[in-house]
Amino acid sequence: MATDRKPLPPAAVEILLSLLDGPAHGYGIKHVIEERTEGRTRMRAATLYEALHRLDQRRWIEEVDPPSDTDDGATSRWRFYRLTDTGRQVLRHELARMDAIVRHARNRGLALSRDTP
Amino acid sequence: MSRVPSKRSTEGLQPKPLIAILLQLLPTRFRHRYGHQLVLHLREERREKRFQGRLGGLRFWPAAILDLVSVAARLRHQHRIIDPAVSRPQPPRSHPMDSFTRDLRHAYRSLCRRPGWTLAAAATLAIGIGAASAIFGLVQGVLLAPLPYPESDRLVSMQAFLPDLGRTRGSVSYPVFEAIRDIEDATTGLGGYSVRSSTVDLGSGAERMTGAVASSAVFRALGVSPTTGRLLQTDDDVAEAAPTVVLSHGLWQERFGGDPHVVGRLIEIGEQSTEVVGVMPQGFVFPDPAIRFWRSMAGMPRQPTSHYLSMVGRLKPQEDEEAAHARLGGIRLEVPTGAPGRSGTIGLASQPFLESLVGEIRPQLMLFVLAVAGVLAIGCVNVVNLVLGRAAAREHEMSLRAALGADRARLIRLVLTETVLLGLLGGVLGLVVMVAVERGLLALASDQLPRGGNPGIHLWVFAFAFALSVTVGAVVGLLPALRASRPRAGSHLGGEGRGILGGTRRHRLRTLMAVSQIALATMLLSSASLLTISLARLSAVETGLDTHQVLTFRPALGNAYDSTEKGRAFFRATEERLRALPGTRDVAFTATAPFGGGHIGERLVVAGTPEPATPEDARVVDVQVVSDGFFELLGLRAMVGRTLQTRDEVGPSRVAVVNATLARTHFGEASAALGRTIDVGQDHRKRSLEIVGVVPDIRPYSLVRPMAPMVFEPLGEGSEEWPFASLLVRTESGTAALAAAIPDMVRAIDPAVPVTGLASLGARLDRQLALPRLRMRVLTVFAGSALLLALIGVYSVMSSLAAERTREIGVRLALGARRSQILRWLGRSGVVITAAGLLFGTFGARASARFLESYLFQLQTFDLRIVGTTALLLALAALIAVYLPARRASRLDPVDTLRTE
Repeated sequence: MATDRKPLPPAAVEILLSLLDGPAHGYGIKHVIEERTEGRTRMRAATLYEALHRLDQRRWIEEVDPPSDTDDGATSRWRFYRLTDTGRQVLRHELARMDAIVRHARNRGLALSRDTP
Repeated sequence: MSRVPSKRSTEGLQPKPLIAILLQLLPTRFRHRYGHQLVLHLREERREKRFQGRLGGLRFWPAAILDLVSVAARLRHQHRIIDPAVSRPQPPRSHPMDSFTRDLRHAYRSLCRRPGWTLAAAATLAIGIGAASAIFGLVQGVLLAPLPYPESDRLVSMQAFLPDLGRTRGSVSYPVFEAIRDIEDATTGLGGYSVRSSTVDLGSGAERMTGAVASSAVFRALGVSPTTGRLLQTDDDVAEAAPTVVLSHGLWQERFGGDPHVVGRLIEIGEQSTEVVGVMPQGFVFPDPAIRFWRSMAGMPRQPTSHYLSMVGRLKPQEDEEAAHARLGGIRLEVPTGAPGRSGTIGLASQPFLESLVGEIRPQLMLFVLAVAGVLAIGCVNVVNLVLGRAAAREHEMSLRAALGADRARLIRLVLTETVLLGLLGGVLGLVVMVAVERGLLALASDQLPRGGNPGIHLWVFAFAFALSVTVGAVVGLLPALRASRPRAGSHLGGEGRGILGGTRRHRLRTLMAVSQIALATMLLSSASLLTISLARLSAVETGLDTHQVLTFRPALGNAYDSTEKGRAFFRATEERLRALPGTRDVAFTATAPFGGGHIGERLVVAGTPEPATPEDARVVDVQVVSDGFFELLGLRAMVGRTLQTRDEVGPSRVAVVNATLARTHFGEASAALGRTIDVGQDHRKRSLEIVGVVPDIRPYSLVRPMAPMVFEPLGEGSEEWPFASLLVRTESGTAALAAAIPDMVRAIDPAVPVTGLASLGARLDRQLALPRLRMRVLTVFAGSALLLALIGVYSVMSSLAAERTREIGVRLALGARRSQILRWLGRSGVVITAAGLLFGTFGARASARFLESYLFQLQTFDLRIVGTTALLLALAALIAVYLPARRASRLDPVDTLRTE
């Protein structure tokens, strides 16, 4: 069952999620996460890059050149990352695991509120 | 969906130095790969709205730095690649570094959650840490920092020692200096110098400036080279040479604009044209920063009657320091004393030069250290109280952690991390306090402190502040940490307070601490008030002299005045001219000017009593030889008998007037001294004097030394003291105008006689008071802060006491107790705390009064009245601190208190 797998660290999940829409650089990833969690999760700089490093070593994300539709010069120094196929798979599995848990809880009658801190 | 940062963000990509340093913490490969990105990222983040400006910066940087440090720590301690599939944290096997960073983060967040509390605690610590660091800076700068000369520990200062009286002379005359210099034992050439304030004209008008006169040997001994020109040389020492001067770097920059061609220019010093021959390098100071130039010895008085030189030399390279000092101490030599044709025996007293500068002030600085330690201690106790109070609220958390398997060490570490962080925060805030205290001290006292207080940024001080912050944090956290980690299964506080002080163990501790705070504050306050009253007594008319508008000066007669008649004639001429000046009310003579200058001590034996068996048993009195107008001029009236009159001055003196201390010491009371005879002096100077009057104690020499018995002899026609005489002039037309007229007047009588020691008595007195005033002010400030902190401590203990008894208050109120009864009940413990604290504090003040002994004037070190009044005032203040929380608690609505069950 999907719930048998060991869970991913939250930082990894957030980053992988952020890259679903396409490649991004560190600062952009941070903003996406912040927006999505409505400010609840703020990733600090070094922690973010540490996590990126780990994901990169696992080959779940990879570095790419900046997309052609961004300004030259201004962003050429930023490194962009994008999901690898393996990374996409891992994310899918993780989301499935979470989903299984949520379904299990719902079946038992636990109502999930939107504002849980 | 990538958010593009602005173009500006890539300009000038030099990370701030701090960030660059912190980046070095990261492992090399990581840094190469991501360092760049990190800097960009941080840069962007800093630009965010919530981190804008100074306040935003304050929010931004600690977190950013903490983040960098903890990630670096994590990265460096991972020897294997962490599998991201395994979730963190893993409790039993987590690396210590992991938990350290976690603790750090936790502590930081915990402090941030209660900003008000954190700020209050940190501010309390800041006061103590800041003040302590400032005092340390003072001690380090003045006592510990080496002097700015090469091998400065080889420099020695030399003084003349009077074997008969067991005292050293403050300064020597030129012939004595020469005699000592010529010994050439142990030192490589002794230099003589004298600090004086002169009238200087640099081309833009006359002004007063502090400078020094120095022989060339001084510069040779110090071993510092000039930055321009040359030093003073042996040719400049010759009496007939043209005067030359070396400027300080500061003077050169300020007044000559750093002009490289300043050498050779002529300036006027003391109305003499003096050539500038060199400039000293920046940072050169001798003997203290106030000195702006060093003038040669040419033209300086060489009479044996003019004592003004201090001596400094450097030990020969092969000399052992202790052996040298011992050897020098054993030397005796014959030197001219100043009376025509006479000579006397002196010895030598040598000590390291630094010691001669700072030896006297050391006890004073130690007093400050003790006082500031007291303030720090009180502040720490306050913070311990605060932490304990907060710890109560976190009992839950602690018990939970313990249940989850955190070992005791871990819990202790948790608490300690938080308090050390708090301590560091206090240290940072304390920097402000430190700068303020340092500035204040220097403003008040840089002319009182040797080496001018040696101001400037010393790295030692910052290191000390840091170490102190960490230590304070650890100490403050120790007790709460131990308590928090004690295994407590389930049950929390054991019941409400029983008994007067509150039954719970925790509360007993807190009340004990409040007691100790009050005790410490009492001690500090008593010291401060003792010093204050002492100062008040010093500056009041307790001096016994009417010093308004009195000027004193001493014409230094030269060898030409080799007979008493010539000396007396000179002074009579001076007196005539002085009386001729408009505004002169009175003129008198004395062989020793009041308030400064050397004094003559001689042996005293009451006629009819046996001679003392050994020299140590002999009584010594201060002898003043004065003209008849002396007492009138200063407004002294005889208590019994009469003062000296003109007729006493004819023939060899047979009568004398004594002061009240002498009368009391030797005869029991003033009236008993009248008519008695005393034998004063030794050998050929021995004489018998009949006491014809007793005057009140005055303080001619030093305000702070204990009152000595004094004999006043008439300055007779035939007296040998004439060449040494000083004049006192009372004027109604302003001492400044008179002071300006006197040098010309003396020069008109004899151009070869210089005027020395020209000053108003009032000014001399003020100078004497400056140091006691400094002491008093510093102690008062410390005592005031100590009081404030102690009162806060008492207030907080009382508040928490009352808070803990809320339920019981409710019960009592519901059972019909009146509010006044509740108030009394709550206040009881506060009263006991205050009383106990005062009691211990008073005992402590008595014990510690020893330190103040030398500083207290005319006071018992433990004057019960003063200490008692202080204690009373403190009690009043403390009782307010007790009353307020009690009153608030007694006003509670019983329904509320019972409901919050």
